[in-house]
Amino acid sequence: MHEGSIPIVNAMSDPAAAVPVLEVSGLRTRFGPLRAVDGVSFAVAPGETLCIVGESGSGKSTVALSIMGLIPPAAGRVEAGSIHLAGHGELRGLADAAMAAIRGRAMGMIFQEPMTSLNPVFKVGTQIAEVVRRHQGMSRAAAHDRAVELLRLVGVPSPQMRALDYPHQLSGGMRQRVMIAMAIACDPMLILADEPTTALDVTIQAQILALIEELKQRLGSGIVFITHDLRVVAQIAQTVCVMYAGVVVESATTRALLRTPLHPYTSGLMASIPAAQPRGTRRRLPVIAGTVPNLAKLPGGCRFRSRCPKAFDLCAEVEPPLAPPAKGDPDRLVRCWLHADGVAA
Amino acid sequence: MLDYAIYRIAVLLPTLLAVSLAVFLVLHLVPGDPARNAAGPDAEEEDIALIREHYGLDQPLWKQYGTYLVRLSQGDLGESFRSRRPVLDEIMRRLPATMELAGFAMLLAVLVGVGMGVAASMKPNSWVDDAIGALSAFGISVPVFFLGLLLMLLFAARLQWLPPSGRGSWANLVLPVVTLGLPYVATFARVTRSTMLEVLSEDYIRTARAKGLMRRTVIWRHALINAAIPLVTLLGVYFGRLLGGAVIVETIFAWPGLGRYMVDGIIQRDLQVVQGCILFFATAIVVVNLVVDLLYSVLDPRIARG
Ligand SMILES: Nc1ncnc2c1ncn2[C@@H]1O[C@H](COP(=O)(O)OP(=O)(O)OP(=O)(O)O)[C@@H](O)[C@H]1O
Ligand code: SF4
Ligand SMILES: [Mg+2]
Repeated sequence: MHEGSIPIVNAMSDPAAAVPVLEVSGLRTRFGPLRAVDGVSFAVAPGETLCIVGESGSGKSTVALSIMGLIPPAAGRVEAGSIHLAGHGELRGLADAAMAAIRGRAMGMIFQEPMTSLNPVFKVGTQIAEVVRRHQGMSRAAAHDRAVELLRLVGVPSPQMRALDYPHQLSGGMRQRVMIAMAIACDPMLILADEPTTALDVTIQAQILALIEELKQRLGSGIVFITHDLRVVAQIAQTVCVMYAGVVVESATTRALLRTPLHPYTSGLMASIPAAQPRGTRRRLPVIAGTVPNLAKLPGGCRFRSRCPKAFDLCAEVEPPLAPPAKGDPDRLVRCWLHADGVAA
Repeated sequence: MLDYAIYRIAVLLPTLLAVSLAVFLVLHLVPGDPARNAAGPDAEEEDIALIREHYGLDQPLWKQYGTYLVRLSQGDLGESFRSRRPVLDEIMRRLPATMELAGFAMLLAVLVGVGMGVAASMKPNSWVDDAIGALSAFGISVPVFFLGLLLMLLFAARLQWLPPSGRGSWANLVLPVVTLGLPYVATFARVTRSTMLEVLSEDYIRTARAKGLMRRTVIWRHALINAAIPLVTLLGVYFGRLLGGAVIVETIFAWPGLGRYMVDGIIQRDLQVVQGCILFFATAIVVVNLVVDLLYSVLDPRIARG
């Protein structure tokens, strides 16, 4: 169907990236008048971790939920674009029943809130077993054994006993491990993780990151990891997409992006990492000044303009395209007039 | 769980004691002489005095209550002034009829009401939702006696599809059960709709969908069990009202149950019958609420058991 018609620009330096598990292109999702995702493209290769970073409200979760087909129909819909999953073809426009057969089997998702994401009235073992019963037609007993095995795999101590616990009996970290066990139960080729460590304390965070990394090695899945924390990006990602107000403003390999951020927004994000700030100024530069513009009525021109320290005339008139920078690495993409061909900066 | 159950049952006794005292006081303090009423309008003074002595009505009130309690503890609810038969026997004889009526009405409320509520919550603000909303508004607001008479006029008198009164065949059940059950169908539909809408927006429902579970599994298993927890509490609350409704419905449809027995008792000023019936109803309500509470803790694992 697709014949590789979409240019996949990120992760090109990695030869394994030749056949992506997931290709998203031109994705547009809106909630009524609000354009939460306004033309987003990226691709993820097997064994690759792609991070989507951005402030709250930039549309990161909406991208993940659009891929999963989990945008509540009463609230919004995926309007345009293509979501191509290896072996399953185009997902956009599939009926919910067809999507349900893919969700949990070919792609699994981990959410931000481990405290509320498990059903309070079922034992955690049962909730994990449900996935393999649904997709692999296992018997109740076999599915229970598999659930215990998965709990062990995600590092839950005494999994046999924990499988019989209800969610409220487990800590946040343990619940997140249960969520991960559910997401990987059918060895999915794609794992979507939406800020899976944000709600956890620092030591647990590190453990969960290590676990996700280990599982990726083991399963060879592609991972889309959503975070607003560039330190997490540095730890786990090969590729990064920086999102702002519903669009990708910069994408590059992690190393290139962290070494030389091109977009003023990316630079701002990096300046807000406490360790990256000079001593004495840490308290005064916590975040980029200003707020995300109203996505329901965006003015023309660059979306970051109102907060950009380097904005100039052109920025107010025309929205910059996402394109390779005029000077430098052609594998990178940036959406800023400062780096556009033939525009004097 | 067991400890909790034992505790709840232990608390039951003082509750029932208080209920018995309240019933006793209210009925003995209302104006009117029960002995005179029992004897009939043209009885001799000596006969009335005899009756008064026979039933201990000449004793001081606290002594009467004491005797009453002792008898109660032996399962003796006294005997009817009219029929001279033990009230408990009469209650037991009529109990199946009332249970049948109340049971089917509850079943109707749960099956149809919950079904309608789930259907409405699937597509909020659609025409299905609106239709169900209108029907339940009618069900909640129409008085039971009016509904009963309306149904009787339409289906028994005019269309002659169903018998107007009495008990016996399945056809006899339809009108009383619908009359008694409709307000609860309406209430259950409403409550189910709103709790389902709330539950469907929970994170764990999104998780269930992310696992690829089929729509019906997500709704009937993951959502409804959570929505059922507040519904079960309602079941306890509404059981009492249902018994109250049964009194009216049994009277309209000449249904030979407890409610009608009590109404007859009231009309004939048969003190023992009224007292026995009220105490029986009260006990039933207290016990049902206990069962509901225990059921609640079975359904919701978060409730501490111990
Ligand atoms: N169900 C919804 N109904 C209406 N608007 C929504 C809905 N979900 C998200 N939005 C809006 O879409 C925009 C993007 O939200 P999204 O949750 O994707 O952001 P995010 O980048 O994940 O932010 P965060 O870091 O806070 O999770 C926001 O303006 C948000 O208010
Ligand atoms: S296009 Fe202009 S306003 Fe937008 S980020 Fe670049 S310099 Fe800033
Ligand atoms: Mg989010």
